[in-house]
Amino acid sequence: MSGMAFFRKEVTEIVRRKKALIIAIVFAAFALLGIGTALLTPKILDMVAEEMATQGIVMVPKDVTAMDAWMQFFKNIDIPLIVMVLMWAGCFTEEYRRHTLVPLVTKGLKRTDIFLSKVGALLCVWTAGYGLYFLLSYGYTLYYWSDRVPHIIPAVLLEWAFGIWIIGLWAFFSSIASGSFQVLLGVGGVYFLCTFLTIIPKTEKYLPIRLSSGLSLLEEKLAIGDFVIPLCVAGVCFALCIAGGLACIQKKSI
Amino acid sequence: MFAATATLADLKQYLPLIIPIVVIEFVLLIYVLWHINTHETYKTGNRVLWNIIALVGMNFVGPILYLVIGKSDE
Repeated sequence: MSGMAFFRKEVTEIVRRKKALIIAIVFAAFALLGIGTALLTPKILDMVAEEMATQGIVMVPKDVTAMDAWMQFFKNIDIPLIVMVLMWAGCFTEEYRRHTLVPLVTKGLKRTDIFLSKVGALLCVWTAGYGLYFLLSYGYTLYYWSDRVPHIIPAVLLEWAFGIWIIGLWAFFSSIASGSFQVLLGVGGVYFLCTFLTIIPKTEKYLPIRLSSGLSLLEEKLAIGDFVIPLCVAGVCFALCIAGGLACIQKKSI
Repeated sequence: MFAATATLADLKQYLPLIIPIVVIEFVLLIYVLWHINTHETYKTGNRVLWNIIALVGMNFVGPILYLVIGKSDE
């Protein structure tokens, strides 16, 4: 079996086990719910304002713009990404546990091909799911609001790169962990470490975690140039994770 | 409370969004309930627990939870 055949097998498995369908539903659901939340915000605020008025507090109503919809877009994306990592946490470790990779390796399939196929398949899933999420959000935003928000495309692409960085971490921890929980702990650990490091003002501009703050690009708090370093750091980190994963999987007992 | 402030025109405006959400929600719920009750093994939990979770959290949360951490990979 060649690497390409194994990749096709991975993709077929994702479709047959309904993982593709679940991911599509999760991404679509959060895109629609984000738009719904943005649409209903003035209604909810009106109700709150009525309550407040009885207590003598006056709230100034605010019009909902396309910006609010994009705010929801960047806030909500975390959950589908977490769901995706949760679903794929056992992708490698289940195979180690059941020794299902042994017959393939003894028949001559390279371990590097297995690793790259699985990573490639997840990259495709993320790209497709995120693409669906973006298209739905974009379509509905155009339908409901006529105003335009600048820098949408770069902000959306940066968030996509953030997902790629997470997938890199997932790949590395999958190659060394022996249980899905360890993979989650590894990915989550690095993520929280980065979040924690943002407290130190000077480190903030280097951390890949900044890629997920596309919202500040839309609000023009940050310029595109501010994302160049985090993007490079994320790229190097992804390359190191893949290289490390390739090295570790050679020695892993499967 | 909401019905008092939402007019028919509002509802019409939201329909293109509400219809797909409702369709996805119910298709997902029916599929998940069917899956729970036609399969014997789960990654975690048992049949009664998953039926309750799917029905209580029927607005996406329950079914998605089941598919992610309940549905067996077999």
